[in-house]
Amino acid sequence: MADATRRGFLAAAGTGTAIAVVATAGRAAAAPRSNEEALEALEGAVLVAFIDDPGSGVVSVMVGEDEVEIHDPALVRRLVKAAGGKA
Amino acid sequence: MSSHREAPEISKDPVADNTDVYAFVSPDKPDTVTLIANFIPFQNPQGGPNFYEFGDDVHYEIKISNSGDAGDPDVAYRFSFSTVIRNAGTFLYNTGPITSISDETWNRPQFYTVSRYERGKGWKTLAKHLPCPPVNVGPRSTPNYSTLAAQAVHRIAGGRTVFAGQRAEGFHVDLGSIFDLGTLRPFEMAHLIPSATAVGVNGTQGLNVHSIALQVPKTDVTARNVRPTDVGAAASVIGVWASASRQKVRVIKRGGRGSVSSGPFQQVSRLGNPLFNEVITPMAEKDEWNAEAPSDDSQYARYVARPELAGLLPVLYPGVFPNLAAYTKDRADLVAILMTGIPTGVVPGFQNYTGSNQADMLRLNLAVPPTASPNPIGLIAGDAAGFPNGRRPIDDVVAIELRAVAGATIPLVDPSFTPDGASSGLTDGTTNTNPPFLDSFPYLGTPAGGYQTTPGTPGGAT
Repeated sequence: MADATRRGFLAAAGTGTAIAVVATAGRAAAAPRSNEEALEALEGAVLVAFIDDPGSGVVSVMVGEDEVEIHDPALVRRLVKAAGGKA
Repeated sequence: MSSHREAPEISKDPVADNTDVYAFVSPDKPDTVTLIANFIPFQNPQGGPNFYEFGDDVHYEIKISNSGDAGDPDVAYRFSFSTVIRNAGTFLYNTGPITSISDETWNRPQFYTVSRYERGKGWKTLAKHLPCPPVNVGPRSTPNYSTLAAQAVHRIAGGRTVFAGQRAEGFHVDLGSIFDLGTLRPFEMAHLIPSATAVGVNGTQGLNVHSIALQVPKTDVTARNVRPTDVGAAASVIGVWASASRQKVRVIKRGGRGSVSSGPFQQVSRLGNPLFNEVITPMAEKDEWNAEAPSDDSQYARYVARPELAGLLPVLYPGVFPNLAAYTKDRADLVAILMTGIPTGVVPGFQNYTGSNQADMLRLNLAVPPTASPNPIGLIAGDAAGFPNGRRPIDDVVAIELRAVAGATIPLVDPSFTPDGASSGLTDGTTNTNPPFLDSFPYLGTPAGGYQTTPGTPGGAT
């Protein structure tokens, strides 16, 4: 996945959806970064999308040392369908 | 084991497996405290050509709670590693003798960054690109190993000293016996399945570990940086534990192009008191325990209050522990020792209480001075500088915890109880048979060399 595509993925996912950057490295970590800061750090990074429970409509995107949670049931349905599941 | 391979998942990830934690007032520098965490258990010194090293993808941390909010870190030190291959055209670990840790003949040097966290201030890098020593390969590859390894003791900012690298295993235990239905060779004539009494066999003999070690001014770890002088003061007590964390996701790329890790770091191993997760937590909860913060340990208090091992001893040794077998109360002694610290008034002139929140931490009262002639049985033998007041390398934690679980410490909180006669002398019969501890930092002994170490003797293959 090209970097531009990765950016587009998150940017598109962020439109009209709820995004939360999960705190990193446990309790002894620096303050959680904002979504904008997380996006800034994307350049050259690898993204991994993780759906633990398709019914929740939440995609967790791992990027660098952050986890961005995106609540987007439509996106989850598309990804499930693309993976061969029933959307 | 203290915490070697103590849980199903971490036993498959030795690079992140935290095996022992030590915390003690430095005997040769009593204004400082030494904190050591060991990882990578059961290292056969001959394990080349890819010898043991820290994981570049692991965060190794030693954490300190000092504010009475037990189990939440107020101070933490993180070691993160990077490894280099100098000569990509050889399979060799070293291409000639390594006489200095900067020698180009060491083909796979490892370096690390040390960072310090302080609550309210966040993380700050203390030092970068500090070299580890190579492992002890043998007299041709790593001659004068103790001198070579000493080059990897680094003095850094703030009066701190650090070391990260291979050390001799300092924990001793009769593994083969204990895990054969709780046998203690010195007492096996009294076992449910008896045999002749024998001397203990140190199951870690000849093996090495990897240590991260810090020696810092006491004021670097105390609340408000106070200098601890009063044994009775709450501010003199710190709680210590270590952990290892990995990023949430690792993707192995196609075609041998390596792997990539992504996402926040998640704790996969932790350790405070020796043997807590090993023999107290039920197997089905051990992996979860490793991922938890000590501040959430109250959920495990019921296993401390009713330890499985205390129930097994009277069964495995019929007639030896009648008083223990008849004791039906919760084990408030063990809960205090392992989860809250010992409050004032229990042991004359001593306390290491960290408040009512139950958390598995090594609790060290920094105002207790080092003992000139340490007693390996520590506090219960009258040596207040030893376990469970912190933990020194010399402390025989297997014997101490066996005696405590068998009831020797119940009278501290319940004077009506009379311990069984056997409880005061329980031992697995082992001593440290590995290279001796050092008199100065990093204290753990020089690791056994690959060339010089003779493999063990196979047995029971019939």
